[in-house]
Amino acid sequence: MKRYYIRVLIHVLSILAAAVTLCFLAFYNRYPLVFNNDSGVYIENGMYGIVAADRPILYGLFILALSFCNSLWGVVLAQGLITALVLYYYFRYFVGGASYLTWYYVFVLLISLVTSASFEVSWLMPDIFTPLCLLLMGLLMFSGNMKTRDLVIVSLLMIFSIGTHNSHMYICFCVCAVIMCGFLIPSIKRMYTEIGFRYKRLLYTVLLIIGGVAGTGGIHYLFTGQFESSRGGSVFFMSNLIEMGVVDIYLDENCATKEYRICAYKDSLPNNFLWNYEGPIGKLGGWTENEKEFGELVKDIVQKPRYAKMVLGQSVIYTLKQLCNYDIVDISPPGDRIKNAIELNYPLSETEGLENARENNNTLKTGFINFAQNIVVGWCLYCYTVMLWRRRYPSKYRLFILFILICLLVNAAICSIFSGVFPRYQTRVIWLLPLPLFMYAAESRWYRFRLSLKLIKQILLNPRKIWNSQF
Amino acid sequence: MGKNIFLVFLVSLILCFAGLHNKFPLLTGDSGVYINTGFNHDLVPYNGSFYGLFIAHSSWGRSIWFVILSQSFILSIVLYYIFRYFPGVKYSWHCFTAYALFLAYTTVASVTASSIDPGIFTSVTILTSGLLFIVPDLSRRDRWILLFIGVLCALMDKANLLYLSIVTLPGLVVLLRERRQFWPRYRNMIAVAGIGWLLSLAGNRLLKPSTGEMAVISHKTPQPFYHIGVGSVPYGPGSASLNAVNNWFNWEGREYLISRQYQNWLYYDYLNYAIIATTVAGLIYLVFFIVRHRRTRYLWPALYLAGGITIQIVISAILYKSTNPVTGQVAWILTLPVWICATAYLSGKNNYHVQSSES
Repeated sequence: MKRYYIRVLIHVLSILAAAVTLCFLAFYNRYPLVFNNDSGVYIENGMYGIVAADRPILYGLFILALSFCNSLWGVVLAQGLITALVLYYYFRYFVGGASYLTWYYVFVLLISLVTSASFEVSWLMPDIFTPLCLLLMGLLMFSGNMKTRDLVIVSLLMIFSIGTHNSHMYICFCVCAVIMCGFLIPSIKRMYTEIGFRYKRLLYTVLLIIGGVAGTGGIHYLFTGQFESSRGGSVFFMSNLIEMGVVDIYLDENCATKEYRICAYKDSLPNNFLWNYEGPIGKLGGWTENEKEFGELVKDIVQKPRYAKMVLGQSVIYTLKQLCNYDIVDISPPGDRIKNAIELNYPLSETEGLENARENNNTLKTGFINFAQNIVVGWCLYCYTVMLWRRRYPSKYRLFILFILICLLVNAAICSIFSGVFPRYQTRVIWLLPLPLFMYAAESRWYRFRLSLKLIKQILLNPRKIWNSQF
Repeated sequence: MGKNIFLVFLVSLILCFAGLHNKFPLLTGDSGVYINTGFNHDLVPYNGSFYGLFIAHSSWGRSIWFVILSQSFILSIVLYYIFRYFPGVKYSWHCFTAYALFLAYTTVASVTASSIDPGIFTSVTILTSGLLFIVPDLSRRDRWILLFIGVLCALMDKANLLYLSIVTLPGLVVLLRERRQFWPRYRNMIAVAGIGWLLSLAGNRLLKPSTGEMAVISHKTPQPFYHIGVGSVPYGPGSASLNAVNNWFNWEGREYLISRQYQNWLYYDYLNYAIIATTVAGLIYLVFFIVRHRRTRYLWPALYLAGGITIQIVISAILYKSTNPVTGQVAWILTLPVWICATAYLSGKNNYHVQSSES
């Protein structure tokens, strides 16, 4: 019994240590990282119960609940803890065995130091819940032997994660649809059978996503009296169609016959259409006023083959661009809205903390992490190619690699097509890449790694011998 | 076969990394001139390049992205042939893919391939002519493909045509002295240089050098020959490059405005460190390789590589007076011998060793 408690204690301590490690960038910055004015908007939404047109309220409530109106460090630590717990489940249920805790911590250390994971955890933005959604989906679908307690935790986290950002529902539904299509491909179906993946699990995951959407709608109903989950979709898409250059052509050709109010501004549509409140969107009455007209315009563009073809071509290019844009760039001194939100709602020490932060003083540089992340991504992509091509690797990991690639692709497609190419959309998920490799390395108990280490050691310590034997 | 074709396409996408990361193909001071001359069917006045026509045709007049995709595709084909045909090395798709990722993340190759500039053809010229010169057992199809790429490179820049001519000179001596055993090596090269000259002369007669506003060439900052780093300058409103994009690829103009280059947040600090490290390491390895193989037949490929890079730098220095960053554009080739040897070691089962001792 005593041994059992010691084991539990070790596991709890490991998760806590991983959570603290994941908050590395916040500690280095001396304060949680914030983003433009958005973090301030989330704080305000939670504090004053405002449901904004462009984002759900759930993450605002999360900040409210976990900061205890006292310190925003609570939010970052909670994000770190949730991420550490979900990753722990992966190593526990997929790898198992005796040494998975070591591998778990090594993995957390790697992603915290040389990928964007720590940045996402330390950021007061709901972006960390995107990879969490995807990871939780993976757990629900591919892990068959979860304890009831863990299944409940995972399911609740999944429902919550879906509601934190507008894009999550679309991303998760698309990933589910792609995975369902796998049943139509014999080789993939065979892999599903090998690992015991069935329709039932997929259905359960879909139900949780629907639950998440309904739950968010319910919470919005409590605050506004309207049962709406995600809003402003057509405005986002319209803005992106402008950047793609399609709206310019469409308006040139159609303004003579159709009476859109936006036609008055067809020659002066700015690139930053969405957030330029002094531009057409502001002059025409804001987001809600224009949602209907933009919806009709977008529908017309998508339905006409000439424009649809353009949108399709641009969508492919945008997805590719988004796939290559994953560096940490959104670090800049906080906007006034954040400063005001913290000043008005939190103790003075928080304002001082924000002012002393490296981010506020422009001394937080992420150039090295970005470069190191490139190397990690390159290495992972190479390993993925080898593992997917060679059938001798276990189906479980090959399938999981496919799952991660699908998640990355769907995330890039949804975000870049409906919102635009912004590095933060891919930064939030890129750190998932090394996970299958670490899990495989942990399960194969060092074997393959020892071989590679031996080779590297040979090359480093004894170059002359290799030189002589080879050339 | 299908796997190899897929890999060549995949590697071309990987080599477009810098362009995709920038959210738009990288523009240089001369991009505008090339685009304008291409669509106006003119010649670039200062170097007689047909690169403009390459832009006009490879973009299909629709998207500037197709230009960098074509450049990367050409580079990818040449790299594939190097890994497939290099004497004594067993082809390994692992190493080919790994090398492409290495090039994309730690060298200037991806930046050069993703730029609207004929710079990438400088290194492709060295590699293509090397393949035609060194590899004795090219299949007929592959030889035709390489000949086509060689001629294309020759037309992209006067410097490339001169380079091919210089490399071909010994071949003419062989031809005159009737030393038939060397003839197969030189006939491909002579064909490339000959066709290159003929097409160039014909083009010069048919097309006229561009004049007026469109022919204004940017005044690049002179760079020392050892400059191998990469930088980025945003081309804002009023610049020839942006105007040309707006003129000929009108609906993509907005895309450039949201690119990292235009927004001035394209940082290459760590990439530059990596470029210096890989180039120096490659150079040291090449020197050791030459010393080690001074009595084997592998001396010639190594010498060819070292000589080829030097000749290209000298030609560019003479023609463009150090305003052309050619050293940076070709320096990544120095990493090739390391990878060829690594391929031999990891997958060749001593194949390289066997051939080396036979020689």
